[in-house]
Amino acid sequence: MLGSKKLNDQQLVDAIKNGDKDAMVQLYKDNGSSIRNYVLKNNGNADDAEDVLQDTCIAIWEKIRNNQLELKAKISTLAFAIARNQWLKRLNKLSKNVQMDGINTEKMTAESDSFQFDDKKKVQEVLGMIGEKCKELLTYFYFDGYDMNTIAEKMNYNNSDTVKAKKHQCFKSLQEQFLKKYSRQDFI
Amino acid sequence: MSQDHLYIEEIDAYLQGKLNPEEMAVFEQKLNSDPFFAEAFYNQKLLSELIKENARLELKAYLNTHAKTKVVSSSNWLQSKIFAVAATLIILIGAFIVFQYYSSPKLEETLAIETSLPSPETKREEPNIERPDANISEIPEINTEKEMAEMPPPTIEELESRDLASIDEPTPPLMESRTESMKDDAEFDYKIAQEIKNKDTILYAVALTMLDADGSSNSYGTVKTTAKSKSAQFPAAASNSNQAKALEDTKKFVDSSSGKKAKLSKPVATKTKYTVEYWTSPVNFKGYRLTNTTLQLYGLNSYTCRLFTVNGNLYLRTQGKVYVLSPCVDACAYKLEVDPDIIQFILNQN
Repeated sequence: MLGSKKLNDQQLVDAIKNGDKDAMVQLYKDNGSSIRNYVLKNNGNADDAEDVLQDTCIAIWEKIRNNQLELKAKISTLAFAIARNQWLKRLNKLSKNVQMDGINTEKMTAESDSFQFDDKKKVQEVLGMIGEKCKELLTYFYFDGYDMNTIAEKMNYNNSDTVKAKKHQCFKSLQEQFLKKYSRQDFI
Repeated sequence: MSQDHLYIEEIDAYLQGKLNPEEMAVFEQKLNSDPFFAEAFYNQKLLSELIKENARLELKAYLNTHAKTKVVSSSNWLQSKIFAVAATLIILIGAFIVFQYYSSPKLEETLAIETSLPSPETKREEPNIERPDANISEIPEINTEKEMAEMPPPTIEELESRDLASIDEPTPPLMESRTESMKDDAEFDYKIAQEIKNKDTILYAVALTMLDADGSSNSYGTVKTTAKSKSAQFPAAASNSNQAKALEDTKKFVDSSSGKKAKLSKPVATKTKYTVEYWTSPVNFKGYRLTNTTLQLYGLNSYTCRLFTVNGNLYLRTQGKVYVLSPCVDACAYKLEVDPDIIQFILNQN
């Protein structure tokens, strides 16, 4: 990266709040070796390590974007803690087949209340059914947790009411397109 | 506003945790009693999850193209052609820089390589993973009387001296054996910098049997060590001085503990290999994790500890204290052993 500087923790948080994906790349590079080493040393392979590392970066991205992160500890400490949890969760999942000593099985059942998105193409296909503007708006709302005013600012809409109407329109359209082809059972 | 519109907003508020307890109760009541509402709710929940998942996939795609490959710089770089007039000049300079940049291996390249390959450490760890299992299941063989006479059983002292045999510098017998990764100083420093793992090492839990005072079952076990250890079985050619010392130590111990309920009459030496890791937790947690082959110790002040197996239980001895360790995948607190005989027995070991 010619010319780009390394950000400190606060700058990194600010950059991610502004949607700077390169800040996430820095997160990935800064914490790559410690997280990989951890997974590899705890019965994971290189693919597992890569998955955990990427998921960790994205989890931190989400936390920052949703204002759920307070900089009390170093980001590297936080990243490692998240990675550890993610890896333990995965190990728990795997151990449904292979019984291991001492693993808390109650935790796993609580986790399985969610949907299955193993098929990436299907996910992308569903979101491809609506226009880019709609996708952007819905992502701001559901993924980033932005309120209507913030979205209005980000997307140059007049006011929050316009955003509300747009959001409703986009969501209805997504729902209709989705139900034409799929049902909820396809993702359980 | 249509009914439909209200539904969507209400469900959003619920999904985002913005309802107060009263509203939440009403909402859940409606969810249970109105099947149409429930259908709308679960569809909306799924769609919102799909939106989030799609956003995550887009971020992952970004990481895959920008963090994993070597061509990190070029895209940023081309965007900066604001000065169209000087384009040729920029390209010339750029070509020069790029030539300079790629002609010598730089940090960034090594980083990129690192991301696409498993770190060298895995390769080193792999063989270790398989061995201990095989080792655990091995049952000590009982030697015949004749063989016993020819070859006195090795004591713990002797086992340790073998573990340490590969190290040149004189090391006190209580020090744990050093591993390859310890020797790799650069890597070791790096771990300290992470403030997480302080040290790791390979330790052998020496299995000991406490025998009744009458010494009813004083059979020797044959020593089994891992393939990595220098001697899989102790050859009869063990040095005489070692043997003499071993016998003396055994005798000393028997003398000192005579009259007590339990004592060691002869050491039985089955060894189980553990990778012991010393960790510092960011939240100052004190405790351990133990799987088949790995023992992670959190919050210990000392990096010297010893492992013993007595009557099938694993014990950790450190700084004059004896803890009993049970298998524990998530974090467990240290538990002091309560049986004074076992404590004394373990503290008396070398």
